[in-house]
Order: sequence, then C-alpha cells, then structure tokens
Amino acid sequence: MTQYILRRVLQSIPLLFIISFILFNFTNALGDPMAVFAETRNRPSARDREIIMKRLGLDRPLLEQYLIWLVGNDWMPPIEIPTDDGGVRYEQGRRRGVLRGDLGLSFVTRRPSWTRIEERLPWTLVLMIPSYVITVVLAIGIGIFSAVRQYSFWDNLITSLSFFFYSMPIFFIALLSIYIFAVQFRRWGLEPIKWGGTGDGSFGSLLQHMVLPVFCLVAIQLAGYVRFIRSSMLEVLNQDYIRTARAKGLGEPTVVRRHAFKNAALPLVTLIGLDLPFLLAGAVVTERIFAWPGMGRLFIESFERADAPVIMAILMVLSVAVVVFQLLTDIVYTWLDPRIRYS
Amino acid sequence: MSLKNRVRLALALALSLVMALAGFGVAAPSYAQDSSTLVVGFAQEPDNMNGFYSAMAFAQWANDLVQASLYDFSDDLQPVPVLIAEIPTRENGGISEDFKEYTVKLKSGLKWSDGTPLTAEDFVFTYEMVKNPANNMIQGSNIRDALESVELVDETTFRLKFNVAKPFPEDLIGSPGLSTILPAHVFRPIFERDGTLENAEENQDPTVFSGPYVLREWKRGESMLFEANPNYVFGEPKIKRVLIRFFPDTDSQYAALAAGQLDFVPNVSEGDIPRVAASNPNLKLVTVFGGYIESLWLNLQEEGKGPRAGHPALKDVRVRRALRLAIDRETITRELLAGATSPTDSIYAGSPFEDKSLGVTPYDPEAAAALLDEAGWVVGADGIRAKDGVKMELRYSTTTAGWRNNIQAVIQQQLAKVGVSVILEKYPASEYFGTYANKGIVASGQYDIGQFANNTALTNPANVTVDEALSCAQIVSEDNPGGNNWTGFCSPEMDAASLVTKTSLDPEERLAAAYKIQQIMRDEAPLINLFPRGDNYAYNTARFVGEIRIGSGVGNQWFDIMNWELK
Repeated sequence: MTQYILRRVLQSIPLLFIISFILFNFTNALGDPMAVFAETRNRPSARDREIIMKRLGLDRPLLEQYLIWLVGNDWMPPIEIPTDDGGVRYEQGRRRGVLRGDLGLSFVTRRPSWTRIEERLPWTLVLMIPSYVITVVLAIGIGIFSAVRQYSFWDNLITSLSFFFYSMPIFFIALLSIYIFAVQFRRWGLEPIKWGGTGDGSFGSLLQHMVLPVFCLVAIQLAGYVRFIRSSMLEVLNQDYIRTARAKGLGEPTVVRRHAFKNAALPLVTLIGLDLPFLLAGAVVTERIFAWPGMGRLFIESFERADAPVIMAILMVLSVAVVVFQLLTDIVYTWLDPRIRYS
Repeated sequence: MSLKNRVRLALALALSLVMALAGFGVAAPSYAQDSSTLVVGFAQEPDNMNGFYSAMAFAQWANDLVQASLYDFSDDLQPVPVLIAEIPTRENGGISEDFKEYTVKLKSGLKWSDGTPLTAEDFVFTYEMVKNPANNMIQGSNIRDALESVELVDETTFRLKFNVAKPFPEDLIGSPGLSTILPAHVFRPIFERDGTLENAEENQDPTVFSGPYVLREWKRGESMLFEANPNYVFGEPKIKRVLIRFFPDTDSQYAALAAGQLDFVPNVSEGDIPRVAASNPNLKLVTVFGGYIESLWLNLQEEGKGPRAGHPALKDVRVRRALRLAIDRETITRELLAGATSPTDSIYAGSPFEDKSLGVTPYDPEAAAALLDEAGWVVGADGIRAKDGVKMELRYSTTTAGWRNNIQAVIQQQLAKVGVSVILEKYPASEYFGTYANKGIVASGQYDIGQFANNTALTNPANVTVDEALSCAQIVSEDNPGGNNWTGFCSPEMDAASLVTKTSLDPEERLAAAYKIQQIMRDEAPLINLFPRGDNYAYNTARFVGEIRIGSGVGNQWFDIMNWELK
C-alpha cells in the first residue's frame, strides 16, 4: 500500500508540470494587465508602462516567463530599466519561483498571491462544505426514498422538482431569493433574512448570512445527486442478493440500509472524491451575488484584471487538490471495500 | 473499526473542520446601521490604499476618505482649500512670474491621525518619493516629468521648482494631481530599509491618515470600516463610522439599496437609474460632472505601419460626418440612459471651456445619405452601400458592459437605415484595451468603430484626450508601440493648439486654442462623441438629515462629508 501511494505521488509530479505549463499558456493569453489604464484619467506614460512590463517580466518570451514562474529570477542577471535621462538602471529580480514556495506577487495589489488565497479560502469552505454536506445527506435520503418507491406519486413529484431546480440558472434562484426573503419580507413587515457578506463577526450573524447562499447552492446541486443515488440504488435493488436477503426474511429497512445502500454507495464515493477538490474553487456566481468573500470571486476578479499570478496560483491549488483527492478516494475505496487491493 | 464508526468519525471530522473555519469570523468588531454608521456600497474592492499605486477609481475613492489633499474641487468645480492656507497664484506671490516656481503655504497646527504634526516636511518627502524612480509609482508621472526640486522653507512652507512653466497648479499640488500625502514618519523608515515603497505593508494596511476618516478594519473581499478622524483639519466628521461593503454584482447591490441595507452608492450606471429610482421611494439619484465622454472612435490608421488599417471609407471626412448625422444620439440618451445625459460634439463637454456656440449635430439621416452618395458610397442591390466593389461593412466593437452592448444594437439599426452595415463585436476590457505589444484589440487596429470613454477637460483647458489619444506624435505603430493614439488621426494644427492650451501663460490665448480644437474636432470628426458621462450616485434620503453635497468627478466625492449627518 505504501508503495502504491508513493508511486502515485511520484506519478503526479510530471503531471503537475504538464498541467502548470498548459495553464500558464492559457492564463497569459487572457488579457493585458496594462488594459486597466485605458479609460482612466491619470494614465501612466508610455515609458512608465514599459517599465511596469519589464519589471513584471511581461516583455519576455512566454517560455522564459514560465521558467521564472517556476524557479524565480533572483539568480538571473538584473533587469535593465530605462531611466528618464535615456540611461538604464539595474534592478535585481526578487522572485523565488513556485518550486521554492513563491507563487508570485499579484499584479494588482502587489501582495503575495498566496496571501490573497489564504484570505479567501476559509470563507469559501465555510460556505461550500455545509452546502455540500447538506446536499449529500438530503440527496441520500431523497434518492433512496425515490428508488424504493419507484414510480409512486412522491417519486414523480421529487423527480419533477429536482429537474425544475436543476434547470434553473443559479443567478435567477439567488436574485429571486434575495427579492423574496430580504426585500419583500421587509415590505410585508416580516423579519428579512440577512444576506450580503459574512455578517458582523458573530457566529449567529454568520449563520444567518449563510442561509440564502447555502439554500441556493443546495437547490441547484441537489437534483444531480438525487438522480445519481436513485439510479444506483435501483440497480442494486434488482440484484439477486437483495431478493435473497428479502427471501430469508430480513426487514425492508435492513435490506435497504445494510445490503442495498452499502453497495450502492461505492460509486457515490467516486463522485464525492471528484467533487471535493472543487469545493476549494468556490461558487463564482453565488459568491458574487451574495457578496461572499470567497475563492470564486477572487478568481473572477483576478480574471477581469488579467492578474495572471493570482489566477495561476488558484489553478495550481486546485490542480494539486484534484490530484490529492483522487489519491484519497482510491485509498478510501480499500477502506470501505476490503475486496479492493492495490499493488 | 466498523463501517458505522468509520462513517461517524469522518462526519465528526468534517463537522469540526466547519466549526473551526467558522470561528475565523468571530473575533471581528461589530457594527450596526444606525445614526453613527453610514453604509456605502462599492462594486469593486480597492486594490491599493496608497493612491500612487493605483489607477482604479474605487481605490481613489476609498483613499479620498482617509487622505486629505492640499485642495479639492467642489460640486460646482470651485477650488476648496483643505490643507493649504491659500491657493497659490501669480497675484498672491505663490507662483513665480515665469510659472516655474510655486511656494506652498500650509495651514498651521495640522496633525496626522496619530497626533504627529503634519508639516511641510511630509510634503517634501512625498515629492521626493514621487520623483524617485526606485518607487515605481504608477501615478504622479506629471510631477516626475516636471519637478526639478522641492525644498523646505519652514515648518508650514515648501517650494517646488519646475523645468518648464506650469500654469495649472491643480495638476501638481491639488487633487487629483496630488491626492495623497505620505506621512514621512511612517514611510521614511520603510524607504530606508527597503529602498522602495512599492511593496510596503503600509500601502495595503495603512495606519496613519490625514483625511476625515481612518481605516479601522479591512475585511478582504467583504468590507472596509472607517472611523472619524478627530485630528481632521475641518474637525471630526458628524458621522462616526463609514462602512464600505463590496457588492460585485450590480443586481444584488441594487437589491441591497432597495432594501435599505445600503445608504449611499456611487457609480450607478445611467441605464440603471430608472429601475433604481423605482425600487424604493426614499432613494434619490444625483448626477454630478464626471469628466468622461462616451465616444465612437474611428480607425483611421494607415496600411503597413503595424496596426490593421481601418475601413477605407473612414478616411473620407464626408463619411465620418455622415455617420455622425446618421446616429440618433438624442433617442439613445433618452431611451437607454433615462435622459440622465444628452448628446455632445465637444471634447470639452461639461467643462468651463466648452464652446457652446458650436452646437450639436442633429440627427438627419437624409443628410447622411446625401453625404455618403456624394462620397461615392452608393446603395447596392442588397441595401448596403459600396464603392469600387468594396462594401461598407464596419466592425463595431466595445467592451462587454451591458449598457454599451444595448447602445451598439441601437446604432446598428440606425446605421442600417442609411445603408451602412456594422458587425457587432464585444471583448473583455482586459483584452479590448490591451497594449499594442499584447495585441490589444483597439491598439492593434482590430476595429473600424470602437466605443469607449475619453476624458473631457476638467479645471483647465489642457485636454488629455486631445493631447495623448489624438496627437500625431502618439500614433501607435510598430515603431511606437507605446503610443496612446489608437485612431491614427493626425492634425498638426490641432497639436499646435493643444500645446498652447498646455503651456500658454495667457488664459485668453488658452481658451481661444481650446475653441480652435473644438472646431477642428467638429469639422474633421476623428471620433463621434455620443454623450458626457456623469458620475451617478444613489442615496437613501430616509437616512440623511437634509440634502447632501457630493463632489464632482474632478476631485473628491467626499469633499463635504464632514457636514453630512445621519438620522
């Protein structure tokens, strides 16, 4: 097992290099960080812009930029920067590169990209983990119910409802819920649900502010999981060993829980393992609408400003998370199903 | 361990992780929306709290709340002395006869928020920092280029010497020319340690302030909390706290405004004014002079110099004038922008230097058609004009802003009526305004008509759009990739007049040159001005005592905030 894990970790290293190289190319084709100066009044002069480009290393070939991103430029010859009097001054690069733990400074705030992620990641998890847990728990309950009572009135109702929410755009549900629970509630003289940001710092306020975004996230995610669990349960319920279990006189709850769900749960673990790393990515639209200070918003805001170092940092964190969670999923498999062995 | 126990363990772990993460928020101070706290909604989060390191409007606005300038401009564009005792002029001896030397006198007894005296030394330090290339500031290039020396005269007086005559003191000592003053006692040690201020923590989390408020807490991605500064030059403001909350989504920002969760919102888009006003009867919408004009820029670039050349028809001034006649700007401003603004032809629109006698070109599709016929572009069988086998099909692009795309669609219909076909394109701003080296859409000429904003004149007749974006020397090309003129327009006559507006020491002569520029622009039509863009604010009258005064886009929206009062 240890050997297996070690092999997987070693395999992931070249994989991460390839991913990072591809992402670096995409990220740097996103736009121009200098574009923010158009349409402003105190535009930096052409020379100042040239200096900014040089200092950020954006005037170099992409392959060289990638190299600097990997191993930094503090060991390279100093950067030549034109001065007002037509001469040059030299400035030693300060970047240490990703391989030495430096994800680079944000073009926009000049703060380390990692600091920006550190500020946002906890808030994203505070939002995403509860909504994910609620989604999965509800989905298991509803999915099993729906499978056991296949084609009943409730199954049909749940199926229709889940398709209804599944096909609704998140921004619509989000804005609608704000209008109903915050704006209209106030007009009707009811206590409006608080939303927008994370509250005034108390735990109670945080919970209140989580109600609407969590509701929206659960509403759009739930359907997919319910359908998945329902079909995977139905498959198992038609197996011979279920009939055997019933035949030997076991109660229906025991049959469903012990024999059916346990076996139907394995594909669910795969699905969760694939989804978990993306909890780190946050929810772009939900976070924007509810003014939640999460990763999704950081990503989109960095994207709008063509802040390549931050975008790269986010994407790399996600890439590493995907690789790690894939490995964890495989390990959890052996834990849940002793028949599975890796060598 | 049985499966049940394993699942229980996993759930317990997940739950405790959530609880631990939730604990992050608990330590922060709390604030309520009451008579002591003004809640402001910003669509974007400031990127830097040192004004010299940001080109972002929202950063400037947050900065204006905490850093005082020497002098501001009021809502009616009148100078308001803040830290300065008297605005220097040639008459009061503050400006030398040749306009190359300013002597600036501060009010006495000024203090930073931490109680340290704010003296001329802080100004000398600030100018030295701006001048020093090691700081790599993105603002202040006008000061950097012109300033020869700065000297301390006494505790409340300093003297600036320039290498050329500088007739407009506001560009160098007023706001927005110099909107930030650096506390020397804070930044000097940083500069001595690092050799640059560029990466100072203080830029992101400032601790010492000169403005009406001090920054108490910045919850990244969420809010900034400001508290009244008792050492402010005009005394402690009546409103004790200002909370700026970030609402990146306009719809949810308007919902918060409608629900009364926000008291004050800058930057309401013109097209949204009617629905914001209708959402809550207590909301008042105010438009102040913004200093920008929305325009259609025409690609007049020549073939073979690097950027793509625009459609050949645009080279003919008759075609450019015809396009201006064919667009019903009146309907656009009335229907799409709620009448918040009206059409203009002047690149000085709204400023005191606008030549109103030139009037505004009316909407006249017949005249447009006649001009196009005269220029040889005649309607073909498919209803589209053509000349020598070239069809009049123009690429018309702008950013992804929704209100701009609405205008695009209307103009497309209007131009179709005179036989001009346009293909609509839209790009993210970071791609659209990219530099020539980065193949930015406009800079590299990938457009025939480009819609974006330019600057009008502000407090003096020097017009940055004319000076940079329309001058011969600034035409972007393979040889001049940093050029700011992305249209390729060149008029030596206009450049000469522009130089006069910048450097003449005679106000009459400057004004005459500004009028000349407006006339050339009207006749040559290198771009089609659509309308001036004001700064639109919404505020909740139920929360304020009386009407509030909001500063214009020239200076500082908060110039009068010390007099604002909440119920």
